[in-house]
Amino acid sequence: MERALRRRMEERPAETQLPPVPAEAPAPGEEAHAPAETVTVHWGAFADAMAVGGMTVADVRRLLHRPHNIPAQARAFVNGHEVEGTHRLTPGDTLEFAREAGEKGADHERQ
Amino acid sequence: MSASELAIVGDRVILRDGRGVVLEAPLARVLEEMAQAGDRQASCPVLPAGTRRWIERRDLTAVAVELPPQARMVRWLADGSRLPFGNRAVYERYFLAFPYVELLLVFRRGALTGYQQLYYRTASIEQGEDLLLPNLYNVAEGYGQRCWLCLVNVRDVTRLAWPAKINAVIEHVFGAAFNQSSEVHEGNSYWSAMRELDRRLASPEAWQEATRENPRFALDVAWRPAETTVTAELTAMLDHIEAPLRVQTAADLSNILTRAVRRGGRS
Repeated sequence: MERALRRRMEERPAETQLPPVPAEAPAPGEEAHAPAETVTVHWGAFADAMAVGGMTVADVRRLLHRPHNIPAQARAFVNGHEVEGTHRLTPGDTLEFAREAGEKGADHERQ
Repeated sequence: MSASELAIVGDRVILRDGRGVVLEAPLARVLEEMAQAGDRQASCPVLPAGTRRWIERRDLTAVAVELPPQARMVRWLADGSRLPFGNRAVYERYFLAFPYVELLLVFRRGALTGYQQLYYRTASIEQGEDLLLPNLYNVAEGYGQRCWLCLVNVRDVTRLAWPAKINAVIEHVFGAAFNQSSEVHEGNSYWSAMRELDRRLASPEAWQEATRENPRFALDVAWRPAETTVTAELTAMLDHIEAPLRVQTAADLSNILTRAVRRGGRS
């Protein structure tokens, strides 16, 4: 398992070799960090630690597309860096799907 | 009104005063109005993800949505932007850590009402209800709300199912660029107000650097207390739109009878 993990780390493109940034804090009573083998995935109100280490971003997008309505145009960020669908996830990563939605504020009216 | 008399005759409720019958309505309709009079818990069978409070009052729905602490990619007005807001302003992307974000929203028949607030917390609502002031552009004191959240550009959510409705708001909060629209229109924002709070939050660059060092640092910031709670704010927002109906006196009952008549005629 460790060897496989090391091999995956070595295979990662240079620009994505960042220290893992677990971006979600634990709920009270939970352990301090997500289990080492999981990736924290979030989109909108959805946030979960998932055992998707080793999968590509495209795999995770496919996996979550239906249950969580992740739109095709949502961009993927791993540890705060935009990545392609081919990017392979490493345990401890944080994957965020985000869609840019214009800007806040308008001329005069409020809603 | 002291001389008024409310009578149930068969399947009808009749309000009389000294001069005779003032109003009458079917008993079933009056009971329906009475059931609507107080605040109710969720009629939505499965609450959307993140929803921690749900209060219904007649055709209003007030919800508290809690987003757990996360570091998110957001677009933020660039220092050198010539324009303070709008699609021709200049924005930069930052990776920023947030504590618990509490969205308080009131909908009427599924549509946003303008009663919408954003606060922070450093623990889940399960641990308490006290709210903290945020440090964001586009969150401002205004329109009778302490932390009004600008949602002016959110698409119409009226016809969306509840999970999609809530998600559309969340997507807008973090997906729509932050800018100085509230400085211009509301005369303030919590980004401007809170920049001195902590050196790690003095600029988006500092905030991002602190996030890279510790994506949980936002839980350690001494955010200023808002001195209000989730339930107090949700109730106040509902009260601003439509006061709760009291049912304590004959006069209150006659008000309900009046509503029943208005809703369905005298038959």
